[in-house]
Amino acid sequence: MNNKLIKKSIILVILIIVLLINVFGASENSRYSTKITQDYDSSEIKKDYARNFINLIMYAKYDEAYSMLTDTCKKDLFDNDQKKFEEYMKLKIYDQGKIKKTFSYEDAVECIEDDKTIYSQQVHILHRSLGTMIIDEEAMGYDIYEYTSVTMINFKIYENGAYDYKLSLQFIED
Amino acid sequence: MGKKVINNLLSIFIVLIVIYLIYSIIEPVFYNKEIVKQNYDKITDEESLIVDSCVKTYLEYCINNNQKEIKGMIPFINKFNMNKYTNLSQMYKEKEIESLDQCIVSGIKKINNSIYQVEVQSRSGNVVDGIIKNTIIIKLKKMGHSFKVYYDMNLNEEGV
Repeated sequence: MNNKLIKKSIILVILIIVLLINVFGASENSRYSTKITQDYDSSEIKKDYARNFINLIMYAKYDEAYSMLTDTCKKDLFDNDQKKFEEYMKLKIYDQGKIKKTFSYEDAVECIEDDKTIYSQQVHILHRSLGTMIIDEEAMGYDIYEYTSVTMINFKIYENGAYDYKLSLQFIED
Repeated sequence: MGKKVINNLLSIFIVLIVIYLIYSIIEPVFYNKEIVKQNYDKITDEESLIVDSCVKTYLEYCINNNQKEIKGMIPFINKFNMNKYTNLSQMYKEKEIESLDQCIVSGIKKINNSIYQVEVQSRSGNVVDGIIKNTIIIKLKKMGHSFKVYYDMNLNEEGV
């Protein structure tokens, strides 16, 4: 009986060691730092919200982009009409006629709206197109030139928590 | 009599630990894209940021085909088929996803106490491919401050 107890105790100790390794042990690559919340700049995450929206528009995922908007934005800007939203986005952001588009995302700025903290972020879309200009009608000579136009969108970010958010759009300038 | 009780208790502890260890080995099998919950658990900002960082680290290694590092992040049961991860890196290469900047974490949900579901959108450099959507499930081992990637939809897609 004593021998049996000793054997079982040894097995139990070995199993407990394996269990502890399983719970606490990990390879160096899979460790995360708890300091991450202090070091991590959450404004980077807010930039992702706007990037996410723009990407969806650029790849014609209008359903998903539309679902990211606040109810007020849907109503005020698009009369709750998704078709209208699609047309507007095609015209203002996607703009097939423009050959090159460059997006620049500013940092999200904290602001107060109706006593609630929200974030405001501007995105600049630079459209570049090529045009032709006739310089000599008789000789049918023409010159190719590049022209640019800038669309600015002000995103308002209503965040309940990290990755739990809704957006509101405001086109500032064309 | 006392020895019999101790003997029985030891047996129970041994069985329980063995069951737990076996479960922890096969646990990743239970998590896949079929897990769709109606109500996810409430997630804190701190958890979101940790999960975001872990997933981005994993994605970076996948994009750069760092097999050794990936091996440290995947559960024991997946370590026998590392070819899958080579194919995954190859897929990223083919889709012209070359850096983490092309990947955006678009949503994080908490499935249960330690398991999180992350939606990722990767913008392919090849315009024809558009956005590649991915779902990744990770487990945070909070006591050991480490994580394991239980499921990667791209990895389990046919042909990858």
